Amino acid sequence: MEQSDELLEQIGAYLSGKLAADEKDRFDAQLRQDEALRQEVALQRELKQGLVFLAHKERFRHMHADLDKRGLLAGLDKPTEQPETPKSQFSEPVFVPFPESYPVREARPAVRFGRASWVMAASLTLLLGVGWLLYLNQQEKRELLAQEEHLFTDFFSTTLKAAPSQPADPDRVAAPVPNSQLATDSVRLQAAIAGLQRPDRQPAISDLIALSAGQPGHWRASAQWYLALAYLRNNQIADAQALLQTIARLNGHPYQQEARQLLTRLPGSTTTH
Amino acid sequence: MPHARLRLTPVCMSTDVNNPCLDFEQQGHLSFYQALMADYKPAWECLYIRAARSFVPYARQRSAISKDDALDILQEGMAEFAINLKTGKFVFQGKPVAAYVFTICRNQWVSFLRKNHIQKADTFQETTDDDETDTYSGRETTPNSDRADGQNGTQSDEEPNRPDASADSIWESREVDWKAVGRAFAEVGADCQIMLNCFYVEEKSLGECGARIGLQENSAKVKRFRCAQRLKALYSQYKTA
Repeated sequence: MEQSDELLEQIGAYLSGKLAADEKDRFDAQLRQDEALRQEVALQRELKQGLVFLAHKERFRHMHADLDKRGLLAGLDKPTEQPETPKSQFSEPVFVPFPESYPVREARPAVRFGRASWVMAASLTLLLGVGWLLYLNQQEKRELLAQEEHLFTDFFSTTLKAAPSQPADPDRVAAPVPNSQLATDSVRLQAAIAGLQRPDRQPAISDLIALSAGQPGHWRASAQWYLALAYLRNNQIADAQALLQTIARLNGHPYQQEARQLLTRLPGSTTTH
Repeated sequence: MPHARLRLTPVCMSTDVNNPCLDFEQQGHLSFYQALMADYKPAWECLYIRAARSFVPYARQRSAISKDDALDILQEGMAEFAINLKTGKFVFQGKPVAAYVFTICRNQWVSFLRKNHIQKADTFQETTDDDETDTYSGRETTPNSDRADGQNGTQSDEEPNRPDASADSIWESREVDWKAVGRAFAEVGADCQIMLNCFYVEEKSLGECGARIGLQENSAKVKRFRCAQRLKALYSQYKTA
């Protein structure tokens, strides 16, 4: 059987269900008669399914990292018989019927509340109060993290702003930065930006720090912006804020507007520009 | 799922954002299934959480399997379910979807144990991978998240449908060796990866796929064909290896 792109296109349309009814009927008829075509379609189907499977798996891998970061997958580490799932979050209450033969205990004698009992009650109340405060604190932290994540998502883009074309400067004395260096910086920056989407962001942050301290220019400026976003995602609010303030002050910085906008939305920010 | 969307929109900073399952707790299995069909992200996240909370402790308790391996199996199970949902191999029968995913994961876990010669713990006297009663009786002991869907833990009629000839009567169904596909895909080169992903997975037009790597339609046609041929050759080589 002759292999061609036309055939590949036709098989692709067939497997995607994009063929019109009459075309599909004709193709089905061809398949019944042509063993080689049948084999080719089966192989193409395997490749398609395999690639779709891998794409889905990758999607769920990212989803896991995201859910984990949001604290929704806690408790998976321990192989326990009864996973500690907060019922209020994920389960409906299970109603256990009260057995008819359940032995009913005799009523307890009335308890006399002496001084010790009041102390115990007070301690218990205090304990519950402290527990509640801790819980609220945790809750606030989680909300803060969610807010930071939300901000990061709003401002983060994998597409870098293009470097402005620089007109020849007749007054320039110093030698221009070699193009190869600029190209390397842009590639490193792209890689670091991609790295920010991975669960382990530390290598990307290290790269961004290095780039932010590199040759002055568009890529260093862009690296500063992405470093601020990385700090934000890493819950290093003070660092993010300091860097954003620097960017917001720099006229001509490619991300000046974004930095100003983000500063106004930072949790607890009182910054003015 | 307009209802679900309406609930989420105004509370982007509340804990509802953190818990995608809250949106579905008061809804039936059908609504949940429809949300998945509509590719509604919180529904997928909720399904992932439910499946993880039921499967990972289950697998780790019953075998010396690492958490990473358990998660790998879970993600493969979710991927298989996503494909079955899209291709119509999963037929909604009014039962919790998470239970179906759990069964897929469990079957893959059993295969994994066999392949790696890992002994399964006898706690629940499970002997075969297709013994549904054992699967669900095992889960009865754990109040897992599947029950958030309202099941009692005894349903046994959601055995994942394996690809069979009846679904595609034209040719015999062949097992996809997705690991071989992954290995082959990793070797075709960056441009081919973009082109093939665009063609096979995203099902985009030749023009759009070509544009992604800066090719005109005519050149893209040649490129796509060569990339597909290369992928096919590598896959055939690794599949039999």
